Formats: sequence, C-alpha cells, structure tokens
Amino acid sequence: MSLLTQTEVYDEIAKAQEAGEKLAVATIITTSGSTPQRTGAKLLVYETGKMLGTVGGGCVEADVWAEAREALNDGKSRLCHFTLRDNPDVPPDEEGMICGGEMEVMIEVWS
Amino acid sequence: MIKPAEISTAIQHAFANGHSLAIVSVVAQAAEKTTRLLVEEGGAVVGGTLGLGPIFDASAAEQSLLLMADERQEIVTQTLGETRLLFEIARPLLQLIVCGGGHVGLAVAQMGVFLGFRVTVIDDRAEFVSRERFPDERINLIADDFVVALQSLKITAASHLVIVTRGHKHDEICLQEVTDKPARYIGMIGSRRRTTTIRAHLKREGISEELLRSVYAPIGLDIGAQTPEEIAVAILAEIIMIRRGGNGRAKSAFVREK
Repeated sequence: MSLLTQTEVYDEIAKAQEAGEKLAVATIITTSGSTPQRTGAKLLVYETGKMLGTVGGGCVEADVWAEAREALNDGKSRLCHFTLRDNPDVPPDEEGMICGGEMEVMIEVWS
Repeated sequence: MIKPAEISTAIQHAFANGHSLAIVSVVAQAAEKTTRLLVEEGGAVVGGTLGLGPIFDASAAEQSLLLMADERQEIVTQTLGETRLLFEIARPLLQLIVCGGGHVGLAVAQMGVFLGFRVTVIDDRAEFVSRERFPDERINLIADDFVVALQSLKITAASHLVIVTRGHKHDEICLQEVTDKPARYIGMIGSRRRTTTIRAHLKREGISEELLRSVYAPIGLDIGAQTPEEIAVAILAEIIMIRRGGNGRAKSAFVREK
C-alpha cells in the first residue's frame, strides 16, 4: 500500500460520508528516535475493518489500526502516543526490524 | 465544520493556480469534532475556521504562509498561544516546460522526470518531439509553433521554464511570451553577449527591466558543463538551488578558505 495524497484522503472521506459509512483517519503527526514511519502518513480505517493507505506498516500499524477501531466505537477523535520498541518476546536478532523511538498519531473520526 | 469534499475542491483549486494549500487543524487529546482552516499560498483563507475567533484564524493563516514558503515543510505541529496546531501542507506537482527538443532539451526532460517534475517538451519540428525520441510516456510532447504551444499551457507558480530551442530567434520568441507569467523559474540558454542582446531587444519591446532581471540567462550554474547532459545537470541544479534555497557553492569551500 502506498502513501495517500491529501486529495485522495479527502475524496475517500467524502465518498464514505456519501455512502453513510463512518471512518477513522490516523495521521502520524510527530516522530522521534528511530522509526520507519514518516510524519504525514495516513491510514484510513473503516467500520468493516478495511484499511487504506499506510502509516509505515511493520510493528506499529496493527496498534494504530486497533486504536482507530476504538475511536470508531466511541465516535471520539483522539491523540495517541506509541512507543516503538523491540518485542520483548522475540530475541533482537530474530525480529528482523529495527523499531525504536516514539510517535504521535492523531486519530479523527468522520461520520 | 468544513466538509471533506470542500477540502478536496480547495486543494484542486490551489493546485490549478500552482499554489500549495495548508490544512490547519487543532490537535486535542480528545475531541468530538476537529476544526480546520484552509489557507492557500498567495495569501487567502479559503475555508473553515479553527473556532477560536477571527484573530486566532488570522495568526494561524500567517503561520501557514510562512510554512508554505519553505518547500521542505510538509507537516508540522506548532503551538499558537495555548493551542497546539497541526499544519499539513498539500503541494502541487512541479511542472517543467522545456522549449526545444534538441540535445539539451532531451537531457533536461529526462532528468526532469527523474527529479519528479511533470515534464512538457515543445518544439515546432515534430521529429524533435516524437515518441521515438522521448520514449518515456510520462513526458508530455507538443509539436506546434512555440507561441501557440506556450499559450495552450497553464503557467503557474509551480511552473519552471527552460528555454533551449535551436536558435536565439526562437529563444527570444519564447522568452517574450512568458516573461509576464507567474512562473517560478524562467531560464534561457545563450552566451553572456547573446543573452544581453536579447534582454536589450525585449526592453525595447516594453518588457520591464525588473522582469528581465528575474530571467536566468545564461541558464544554469557555472560548473563548466559542456555536453548536453552536463548542461542539463547545470540547469536542474540551478532550479533545485532556487527551490530549496541553496547557494550553488561547494559545501567543502570553507575548508580551503582562510
């Protein structure tokens, strides 16, 4: 999945609204330390669980997706902090991906 | 609340003018609704409000303009007063218009695509703007009279014009056609002497000295370029320098100074 342009994002939101669908838009607004994520990246999450775009994949996308589902449930936009660190259950040399650092994600519900 | 469709329309409208658009929103720990303000490069709030009063919107707009002027900025959070704001900048694709499909035009077009420009090449000789010559489908080709072709293009603040036709006469015709356009960059090939003569001609034609001074002619940075490909590097390096605010000097120059 590739990065969405701003036009694509708002077109998608408009389309969902027309269809009466609720969706959450997660945007990485800041990062610090070593993260594979890029500020400005957006992930759109629908009530069906469908996703569009990416916040960089890897170890954090699933967490962002879960938060977005929460936001869809209670209908409230929120600001989330994620700490990316090595999975304690997996030895570092087997993890195959370097995630360290923090990021802030704004999750907005559009209905 | 500004509607998403209004936001896409505002983006498209700004892009049609070659302008960026800033989408400003309030960053809150939790919110029922996120408020947004849209600011188009060139000075105007084009929609929405942050909901904290007109003075607040005005200062957010002012900050947006500063951020849009710095092409490195795409997404920034800043605190204004006691409110944390997110500025997202949507930027239009940069356009590169190459007048002349000769050796230099070919190299400039190919390099322009490589650098991410939306490239158009114009020549009045069809065989110099053929698909065989420019096999990259991303390059838009126009075989027509230079003036007619230039008039058919929308030249905006995101446009960069490189005038490298087969001769000074055509270069001058192209330059005369575009000097008053809002292009980000206009450059024309030629020697110092020849470009000075062309400036003098155009001044007599009534084009202001200020506009003529803003034209990059002779085109390109002085890197001693000789081949068409090297000349293309010199031209695109100049365009990058202007866009990103560089000075064209070797970064290591300080080592040898003193």
